[in-house]
Amino acid sequence: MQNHLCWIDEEKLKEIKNKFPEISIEKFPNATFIYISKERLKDLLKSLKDEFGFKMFIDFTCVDYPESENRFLGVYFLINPKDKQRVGVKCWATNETLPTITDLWKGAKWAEREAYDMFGVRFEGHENLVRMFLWEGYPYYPLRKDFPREGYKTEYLPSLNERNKDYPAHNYDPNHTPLPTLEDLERTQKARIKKKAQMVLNWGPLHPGTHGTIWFIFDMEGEEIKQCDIILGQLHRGIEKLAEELTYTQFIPYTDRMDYISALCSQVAYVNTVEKLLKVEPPPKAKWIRTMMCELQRINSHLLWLGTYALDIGALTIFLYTFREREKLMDIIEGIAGIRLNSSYIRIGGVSKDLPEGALDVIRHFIKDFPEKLKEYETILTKNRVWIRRNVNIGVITEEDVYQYGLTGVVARASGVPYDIRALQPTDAYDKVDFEIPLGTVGDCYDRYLVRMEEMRQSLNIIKQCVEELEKLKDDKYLATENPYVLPTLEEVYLSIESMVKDFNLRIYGEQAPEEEIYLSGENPRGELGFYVVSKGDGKPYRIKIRSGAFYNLQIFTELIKGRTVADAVVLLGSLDPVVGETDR
Amino acid sequence: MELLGVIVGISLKALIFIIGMFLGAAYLTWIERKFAGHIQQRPGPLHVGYHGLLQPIADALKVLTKEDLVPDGVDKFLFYLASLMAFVPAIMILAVVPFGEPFNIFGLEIKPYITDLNIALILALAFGSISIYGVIFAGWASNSKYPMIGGLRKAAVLIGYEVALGFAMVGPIMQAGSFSLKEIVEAQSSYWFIIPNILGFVVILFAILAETGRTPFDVQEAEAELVSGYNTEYTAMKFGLFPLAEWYIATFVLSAIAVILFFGGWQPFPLLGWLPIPGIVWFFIKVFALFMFFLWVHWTLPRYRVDQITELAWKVMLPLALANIFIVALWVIIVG
Amino acid sequence: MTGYFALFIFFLWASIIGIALLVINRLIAPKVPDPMEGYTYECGVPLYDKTSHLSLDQKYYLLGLLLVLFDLEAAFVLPWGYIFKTIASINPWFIFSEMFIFLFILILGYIYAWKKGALQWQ
Repeated sequence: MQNHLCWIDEEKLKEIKNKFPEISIEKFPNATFIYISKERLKDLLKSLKDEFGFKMFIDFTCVDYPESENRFLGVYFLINPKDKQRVGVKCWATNETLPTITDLWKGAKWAEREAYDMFGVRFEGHENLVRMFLWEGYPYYPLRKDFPREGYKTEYLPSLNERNKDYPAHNYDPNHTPLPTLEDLERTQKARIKKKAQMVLNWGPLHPGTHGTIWFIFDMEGEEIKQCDIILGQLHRGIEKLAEELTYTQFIPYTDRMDYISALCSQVAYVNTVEKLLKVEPPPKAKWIRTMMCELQRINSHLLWLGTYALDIGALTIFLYTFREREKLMDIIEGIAGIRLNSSYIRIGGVSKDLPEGALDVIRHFIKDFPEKLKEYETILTKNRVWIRRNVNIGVITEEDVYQYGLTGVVARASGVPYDIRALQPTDAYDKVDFEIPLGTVGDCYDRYLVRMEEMRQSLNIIKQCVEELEKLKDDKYLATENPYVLPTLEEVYLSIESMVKDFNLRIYGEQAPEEEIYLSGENPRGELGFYVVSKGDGKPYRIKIRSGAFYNLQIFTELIKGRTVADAVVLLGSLDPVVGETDR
Repeated sequence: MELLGVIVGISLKALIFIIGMFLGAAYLTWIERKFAGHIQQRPGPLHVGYHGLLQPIADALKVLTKEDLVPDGVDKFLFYLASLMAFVPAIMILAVVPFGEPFNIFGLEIKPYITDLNIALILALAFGSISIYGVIFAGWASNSKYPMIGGLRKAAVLIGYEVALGFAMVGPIMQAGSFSLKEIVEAQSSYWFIIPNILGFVVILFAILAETGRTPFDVQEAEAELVSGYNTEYTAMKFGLFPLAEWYIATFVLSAIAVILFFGGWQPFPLLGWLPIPGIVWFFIKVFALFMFFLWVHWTLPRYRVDQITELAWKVMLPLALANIFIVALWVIIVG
Repeated sequence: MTGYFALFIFFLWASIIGIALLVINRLIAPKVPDPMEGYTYECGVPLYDKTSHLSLDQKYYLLGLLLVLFDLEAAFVLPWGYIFKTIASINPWFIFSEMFIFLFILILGYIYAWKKGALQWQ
């Protein structure tokens, strides 16, 4: 049994082949897929789940091949947590339908709805197949290849046309893509939930407790929530659609805007995927810098989480205390990357800038300072009676739920599942640093709180090791510019004609990736952030599917909140910690 | 003619009290914001006037000049009545609070209280409870779901704390043998009633926090859960009266009541009686100390859930209050 | 009687000032009508239930009943407390035992309610 997460091995494939002789196997250097017909799909998945141990659901998506006979290809990703293996299953959606797998994995519910929303693929037997991000009555399926990137501009929106005529805008089109009207929203709302109890409450999108614009609908009896549904899509920007028209480098800033609280982690996850695809090896210094930045960002993200979580439970002061430390981290990140939030610091083949002078000193100061502050937060919260009563035994997630819903990140680890991509499939310098994975025992909100607190300590530990190592690598290269796929630095462009030509080529035509498919993920503070990239040998990806940890983690909310009150909803939502930029994409 | 004189005299005093309380409450907001600011390691209001001293005035003007919105489908009469219901009873408690002993200026006897009734304590208790109706009315009248839930939560808190509060007040009454707040203070000239009544004091602390809706018990407006709770639909002055009444006037006057019951009112601190400080100053020092304690709690603790509050009230506070009666009874019999 | 009269006048002034504030606000505040101004706030989305004057189940019915009972008992205890000191100087154990028999019965009821789970949020 190997230590690292890898793709399904020959032995298992042979066994599967014996059982299902009609399958064909597609192998890429970084992904293995099993093709199966639609009729046998359910049987294959069922046996993968029950017999071969692939019991954790990771992702489902569709890819559109307009010239192909069946057009839509459904792709499932599963994980065997015991043997640490991944497998992809592909199935053509004949007649634009696929059987639902929600009876095997509850976590597929939203993924299937998303596929329906984006591609129009219908799922037979799905309990409530409605739109995921767009509103009911929207006539198009945006991720189909025949849908133009800029949409169909049919609406004249007066409010957007009230502008100063003195400053003419370029390419200004008075028409816009349609926005949902009040009636559209009402239809959407009614489609999601059938009122059974006494009162239906809209909780969000414009609500201080929902951490962004998530729209919850609670069907309540008194304060007890009898059923709940979530309407996502208020922040849907169609990032996956945009990716299809951008080169691999151009897409990096978009990854920032997904999980804006941990932008660096998203960049690293994406760039690692593309580097594996292009077979670019970044220099060691860049790897260490990436690891360090990721962990700084993780602490940053967890601090924001702690502050807002405590704020939700009513402890207003912690919020300011965590922001005090977060501000320092922001300054460090700004000093290194140049930008505080959406830094776009990571590049294919390295990082965009070298570490500035004194950066390591500042970080070393922070490392010295921070444990004391952590202790301060814990003094106020960990043993606080009110805190304990609000957290303990709220929203208990079992190990079975983790596999069923494809929960990852802290939510999985608090339930005792040691699923951490940093350790399972180390990228960058994670295989060289020493850290522990804190695990919870019960899986309630209090455990998730404790795990996150401990994770901050571990991150600090990793940063310490990175700083030591970076001290030695002071004068190394930070960008592998010798590689044909890596953009040269500005200096090189100015000084050498070859670099200039290379820069021009890469910027105009993009990185000509081999015809390949890849799935790789990174450990985002919110869970596994996976990128499934289908390349057709162009400078632009044919399709990028983003597997968002927050999206899957949020899905269990509707289940956990049943029978609980609105007061628990904030606690539960806070402890699942979704970021809308990532759930909606 | 004599009646008119009495009316004018009382009116004058009432106006001084009410307007004084108003300005006082306005500056209590400033104190709270400064205090919260320093707890959170930020300066608080700083730019309007010296250290933000004119901030309350600016806030008051702002609240007074905001558009007065009435949403669709509200019960208009109750909607307006609710803010008065919260404000008037809260300030009515002030009428029975004695701030000190009568004193003479230029041969004129001045009583630093509106009236000294023999049922003052019960009146204060009653007014305190009535002001909660403001919140419940606001919740119902708004015809909106968040206020509705907020109002119902407040009712639940009221149900929790009313009983414990009633029993906890028995202790000082037993020791003083009177319901008159003035007589209760006078009975504390030798020692403060906090001594046997410590349990009663704890219960009353919790009850005041619950009644004024401060943090461990601010379920009725829990902003992360209910947006703003019962006052979600309120704007302008209708809205302004709620926090003014609940957070400042009620907290202040209930602190005053607690000081009178347990900390000897205007009696000086033990061993400091020789200082040339008038009783009224002692009184304000104590009330402010208690008020600050409430602020401290408010800005530190997380919030309970509403069922946990009623549970705490019935399962912890009520037994404590009953035990308090027992202890005080023994104390009075044995010590005298 | 003057005491209550003063209280009444105080009440009048408190109400007048409260009403005056609301009226002044209404007089001097600007009015900028907006088509959605009166729309009930529910996080900026259409209402599922158009009205919120619905019956809503709050699970403290038994607690409410207990409140009535115990508040009545408190009303009995208050006058006892009032005369406690006077009688205690004459016959301390009489007044002590008298009330504690009463309180004992009360506490029995309280324990019964607790055991029956009436103090729980149903």
